[in-house]
Amino acid sequence: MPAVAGDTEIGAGAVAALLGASAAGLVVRGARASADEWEQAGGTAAQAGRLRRRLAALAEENSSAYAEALTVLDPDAPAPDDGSSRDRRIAAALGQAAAVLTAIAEAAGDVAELACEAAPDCAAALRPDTLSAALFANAAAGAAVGLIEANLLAPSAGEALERARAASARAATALERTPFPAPERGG
Amino acid sequence: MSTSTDDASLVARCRAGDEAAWNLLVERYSRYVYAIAMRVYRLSESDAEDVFQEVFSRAFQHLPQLRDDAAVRPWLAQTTRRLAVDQLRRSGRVEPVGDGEDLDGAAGEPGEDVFAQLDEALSVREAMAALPESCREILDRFFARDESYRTIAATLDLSQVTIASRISRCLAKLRAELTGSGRNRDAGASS
Repeated sequence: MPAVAGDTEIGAGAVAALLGASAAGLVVRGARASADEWEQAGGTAAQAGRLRRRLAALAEENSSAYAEALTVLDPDAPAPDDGSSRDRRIAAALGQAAAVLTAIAEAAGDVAELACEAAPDCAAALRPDTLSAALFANAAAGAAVGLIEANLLAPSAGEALERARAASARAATALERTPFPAPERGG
Repeated sequence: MSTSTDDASLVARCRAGDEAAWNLLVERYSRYVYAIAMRVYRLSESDAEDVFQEVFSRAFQHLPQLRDDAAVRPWLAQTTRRLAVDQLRRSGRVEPVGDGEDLDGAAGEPGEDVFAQLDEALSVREAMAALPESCREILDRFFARDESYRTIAATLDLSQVTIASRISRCLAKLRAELTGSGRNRDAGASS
């Protein structure tokens, strides 16, 4: 993450994926720390670990898809060798970029749901971190939706957008069910 | 799970001339042998096929002399390694081909962790086979196919809020299978 923080070239989609991956890492940490007191800690850590790797890979995929979309959108770009029309290439590139962002939204949404499910059971010391993970993941899912809505409304992106919105909505619902605990007041 | 015990009984049945047991043994370990030959030593498919044939030919001949029936897997691994190296030498190559990114041993000999990974993968596969179909499916969808909770829930007609818990419970069963096989394997190796 320090490298990402200093990278002014990285796109918002990749940042969303890495934010989701980092959130998943927090869930892994919280679950591992709870292994002695929570039966499903190992399974939760394994799922969060898988989601973390998935999102890290999606950050790379997003960068590639974004670069391809920029290339085909460049009006000065040379005509393709295969004779395909520019419109068709643009539609394909935008569709692929939307698909990657949808995958980011869904994986980040899953992280948020997993974090919300883990928070009540994980070690008390790491509960705020796990709830923070849910907030981060929810933000990542929401950002992915926003990027599709703003940049990628290709004809093929309609279904992708619906799936991404649904994932973001589920993450938000999970968060509503599992708010940060109110601070304990000393007597 | 008791793979080593199963291996022991399987080897005993093979030794007694049980053809079905032999077929089961070959089926159980064919992917393992191919994985060593092709993924570790980067043999071509035809070279790996030659190694495969020779490994199981020798296994058939040497099963009666196997000192520990439960140790058939390490015996197969060792035999595959020797034959793969022989195949490399015959083909003029002295070390595994490919980019070598997962080969961290000395030149010509892959690191032990590569074999440990293959062993682990085989153990997981065997343990998965012992799980209920519902668990196999949900674990495969989440960990191998990278499907989202929503997709899994929709495909399997389950409530989405239960998916993570179901996966955790199935992982606990998988762990129990793996732990059981680990105990039995250790016991078999030391006997």
